[in-house]
Amino acid sequence: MVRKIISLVIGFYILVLLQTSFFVHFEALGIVPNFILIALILINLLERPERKLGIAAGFLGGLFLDIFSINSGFFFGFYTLASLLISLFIKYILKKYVKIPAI
Amino acid sequence: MRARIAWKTILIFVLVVAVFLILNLTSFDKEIKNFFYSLSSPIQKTFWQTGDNISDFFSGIFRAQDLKKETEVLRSQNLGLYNQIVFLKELEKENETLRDALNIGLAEKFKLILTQVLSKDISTDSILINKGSKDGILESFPVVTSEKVLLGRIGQVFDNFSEVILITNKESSFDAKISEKDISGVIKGKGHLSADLTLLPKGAEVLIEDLVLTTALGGIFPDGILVGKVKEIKKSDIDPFQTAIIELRFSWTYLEDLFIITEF
Repeated sequence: MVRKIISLVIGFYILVLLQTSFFVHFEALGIVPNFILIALILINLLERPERKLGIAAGFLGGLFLDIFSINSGFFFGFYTLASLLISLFIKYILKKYVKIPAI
Repeated sequence: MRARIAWKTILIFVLVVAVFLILNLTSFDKEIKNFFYSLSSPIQKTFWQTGDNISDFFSGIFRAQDLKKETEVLRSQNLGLYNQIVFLKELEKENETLRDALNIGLAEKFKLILTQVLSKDISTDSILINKGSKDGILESFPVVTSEKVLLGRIGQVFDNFSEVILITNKESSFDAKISEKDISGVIKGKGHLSADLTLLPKGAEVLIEDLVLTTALGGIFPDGILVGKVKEIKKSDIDPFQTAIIELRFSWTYLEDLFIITEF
């Protein structure tokens, strides 16, 4: 688990730097996709609902978004709380309403 | 068991909220941001320059047709400008003679600090530059490109970094005028790198390609800095004012070295 969290920290750190300094040059109609959000949604969707890595991804991804958004107009911590809620919501929906057949 | 897990989740969530509340109230978030920006600035600088070079390369390919047309227009404009240069050189000579006669020194117009772009905000039109309060940067200082085109003003200031609120940011609005005409209005940012010149009197004769400059009104920006040119004019019978859409004179492709005006 610790190893996975360290990989998440490194992965999200590189992703947020790419998003804010590299991909801004390739924006279409002034919009750059939020790769951190896409990544954490994918992690939560692809992981088994009872596992906790998706929640850690929500927290870490949101934290990096908070740190590297210069002035989002929100308070510091907004993205972390929003990402955490998104992760918990996906987990809840998957646990409650989605049945994955055993292979 | 399930109830215990739910309580644990709620407790962790409350703790996270409490930590963020403390960080916001103590402004310690600025310290955290400054630490991460210091740690990342060399990587961000490399990413910014690499992105800049790659997008330059691709825009050359994708915009080949447009560039051809643009070159033709510029070539014809260039010929017209030659005549103006000759005329202005004559005026310069006359000006120098008058200055000598009146003993007026050619003092520098502005005091500038050179800075570089590190990153762009994910959600708003703000950028991060590598100069902060330790370099004497204060909130509201104007920022221009190396071609002296207005870019924005300083927002949040960290120890070694600052935020530049671009003129296209939704928070941004300031007074501006049409060059060589007695027409002034207010430039309002719309986000996504676009801005409008609003509150122009309905009877005012604003034309496409008219240059838009800053005014000293409001005291944020110095007078006469180029903002952009009029791209489109919007008029409506019910609206007492007209609005001009501005084509801005800066783009990400050319944003690298910037100047902060510290005195004007």
